[in-house]
This record gives sequence, structure tokens and C-alpha cells, in this order.
Amino acid sequence: MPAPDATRARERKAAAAEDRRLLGEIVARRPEALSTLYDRYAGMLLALANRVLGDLGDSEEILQEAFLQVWNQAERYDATRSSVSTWLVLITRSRAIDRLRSRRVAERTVHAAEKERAQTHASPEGPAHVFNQERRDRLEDELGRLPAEQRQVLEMAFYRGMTQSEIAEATSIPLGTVKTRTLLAIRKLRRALRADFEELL
Amino acid sequence: MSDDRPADRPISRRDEELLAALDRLGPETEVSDRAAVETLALLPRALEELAPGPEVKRRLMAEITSSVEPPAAEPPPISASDRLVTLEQRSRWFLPIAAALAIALLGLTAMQFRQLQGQQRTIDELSAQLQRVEESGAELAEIRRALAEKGGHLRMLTSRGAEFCVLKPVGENPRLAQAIATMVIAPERDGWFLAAEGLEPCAADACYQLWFITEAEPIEAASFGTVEARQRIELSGSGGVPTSIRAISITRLDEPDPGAAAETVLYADQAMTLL
Repeated sequence: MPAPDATRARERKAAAAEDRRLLGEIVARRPEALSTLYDRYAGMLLALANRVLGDLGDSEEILQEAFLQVWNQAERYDATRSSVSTWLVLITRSRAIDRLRSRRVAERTVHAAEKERAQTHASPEGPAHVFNQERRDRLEDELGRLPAEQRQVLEMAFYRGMTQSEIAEATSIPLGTVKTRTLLAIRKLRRALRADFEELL
Repeated sequence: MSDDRPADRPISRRDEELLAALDRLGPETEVSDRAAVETLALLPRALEELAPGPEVKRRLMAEITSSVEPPAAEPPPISASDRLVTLEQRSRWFLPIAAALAIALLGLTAMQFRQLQGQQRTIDELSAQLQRVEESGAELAEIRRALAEKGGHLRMLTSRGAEFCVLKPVGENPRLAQAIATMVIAPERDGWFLAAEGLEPCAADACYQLWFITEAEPIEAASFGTVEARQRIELSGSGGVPTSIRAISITRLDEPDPGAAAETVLYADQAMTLL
């Protein structure tokens, strides 16, 4: 049974506060704080890296590099700019996309990622599993509601690190249309998912 | 970046800034629309989580633990009699040596401080230069792109055999009285150019769609929004244009109500050949 909205909001707020506390501990050079932060986010971040790269070995390297960056640059985190979880996502995404560009494997990764997801690693079980599953289902629903062409440009930008101009060139769609589709997709998702992050703003 | 943007982007300045930030999105990127960044960062949560191998965490923790300095070892205890002798021996030489060391250290520190200041200045200057070069490069690329696009439009407009049509309002809707669009299709049908004006501004969730209506089915060629009343819109496409076009239309789609039929705003079913 899904948790009530108020309960979910409380859980998200508490989780965000705990993330910030852990990052403070990391700044104070306490390895156990990094270990806890890793346990909270490694599953999601590995899935993200794997979605970009389509190679589990490379993705695990990216995951390790991302957490090393967190350890070495925790004091650069700016709470006014993003939540901790968003900062982790952006670090992992940037590293994965840098690796993708350096290996020039953009064309074969999307299908490989689909295959990889189907073949390997069950999702981790834990106390937060049910909550995460519920949130994942909702996100999938919202993404599924986007028109296919809007979802396509959003995923090309986010998971393949392509600029609006690159997407226009790759899809032979006018640049203005790519921009309009991207903006419409972001607006719709923001409206649908606002409850997931409004307490962080 | 210049404010003088090409007119084929009917997108607000704020949205343009958001799209530019999305193009270079990273952990250090400044984005004024924080809600948009938090929204995008939720995308990976729709993925099925993957459990990393245990050796990943083992390697990570080994690496960071080795970077944490162990506490300094305590010196062995000294007995009371040893302490007296030691203090007496030390007091003779301690002060002169300490003073000499302090002076030397002070001199060295001042020298290093000056060097560091100089290096910092050089780093700041180089960073500023690098940033200026990057900004100019991006601006230049944008201007080149816009110029190339305008050149393409001009070539198309002056080509022998290009087709030209005027899209006019449908019905007697007074809101559309000023709306009109002209379209040029390249002779080889490998591109098109549309200029429209007098269209009503779109709400955030609405957009206009351009259609090539063929014998078989309507084909969407582009979608766009408008932000100001009577704004001139210019659009172009480089994809293939169908050969059996029966008509061309612009419809307005209100996305919050997906069940509603799109309203046809402008329509043309006659074309003429230029030159």
C-alpha cells in the first residue's frame, strides 16, 4: 500500500537532512560517513552510470571515482544550489559522460544498457526498498506519460550529454523544436514531481 | 552572449538560460532554476537500482582510509631525574637555536608567501583569460551557426523552382485576423523555411505544430511556442519534405487537455513556383 503523502514528505525531508549531516562528517574526514552515504546511493548511481555507459565494469569504476570526488571535494558542496542527492547524481553523470565521450561509444550504449539491465544484478533489498520501489514506479509512470518525442530529447540530453544543437543534428529536427520539446518535458515533469523535491527548495 | 538573437527562437530569455545550463550541466554549474535541476536529477530514480560488487566499496574505503593521517605516536615517558638533566642540558642551547630557527623559518615563510601570492595572481589571470576565450568561442560558434542558417534561407528563397505558399486564417475568428504565414519549400524538397506572424502567445503547456498534409496522412514538421503577441516566428527544417503534399497547416495544441482536438489556425492548399 502506498505511503500517505505527508509521511513520504517527512521521510524525504529527514533523508535530506541526514545527507547534509553525513556530508558535514565527510568534510571532517570521517570515513564511516562516506561509507553510509555510499550505502544510501550506490545502487541508484550505479544504475545511472550504467544507463550512460552500458558497461557494468566501467560503471563501477565511475561509481568509485565519484565517491572519491565526494571525499576530496565535500567542502565544495553548496546547499543553496542543489540537494546532496542531486549533487551526487550530477557528479556521477558528468564522470560517466566524460568517459562516454572519451571512448566514443555513444552509438552502441543505449541498446547495451537495456540488455545489461535485463541480464545482471538484482536490485538491492533493504528497509528503504519499498519506498524506493514506490517512487520508481511513480517516476516511470510520469516519464511514460510524456509524448515519445519529448522523452527522447530529454533522455538524449541527460543520459548522453548531448547539447540541444547536437540533438537537432542527430535527429534532423529543427533546433527550435528540440528546445520547445525539452522545455515542455521539463515543465511537465517538474509539475508532476514537485512534491518530491519542494521541501528541499 | 549577445541579446540580439535570431528571431527563429520564440523562447523566453529565462528558458534560453535554462537550456544553456542544461547543455553544460555538472556539479559546479550555476542554474537559476533550481527546481528544474532537482527535477532532472530525479530521472535516474526511475531506473532499476544495481548492486555494485563488494570489492568496489572495499577499494574505495581502503583508498580514503589511507588518505586519513594516523595520530602522532606518543613519546616514551621520561623519569624525574632524567627530566632535570635534560632540561638543564636543553636550556643552554635551546633558546639560541630556537631563535635562529624562528628567524630562518620567518624568512622562509615570507619568501614562500610572496611566491604563492605571485603564483595565485598568475593562476587568476590565466583562469580569467581562459574563461574569456571559452565565452568568445561559444559566441562565435553561435554567430557562425546563425549566419550559415541565414545563408541557407537566402539560397532557398532565390533558387529556381522553389515553391511558395501563403497560409491564411481558417474561419472568421477575430483573434486570428492578423495571423499569416509564408512558406518556401526548396526545389529538391530537402528543406523548408516558414515565417509566421500575428499568432497568439502560447501558454506554458501549449504549442503550435506545423503539418504537411499528404494524401495518406498529416506529417508533423515542427512544433514551436510564442511568448509575445504579434511576434514574428521564423523556422526552418533540413529534413525531406514529402512529394505529395495536398496542403500545409498550423494547428494549436493545448497539452493539459490531451483529449481535445488541435485547433487549425492557418491553412494553405495552393502553392506557386518561384522564378
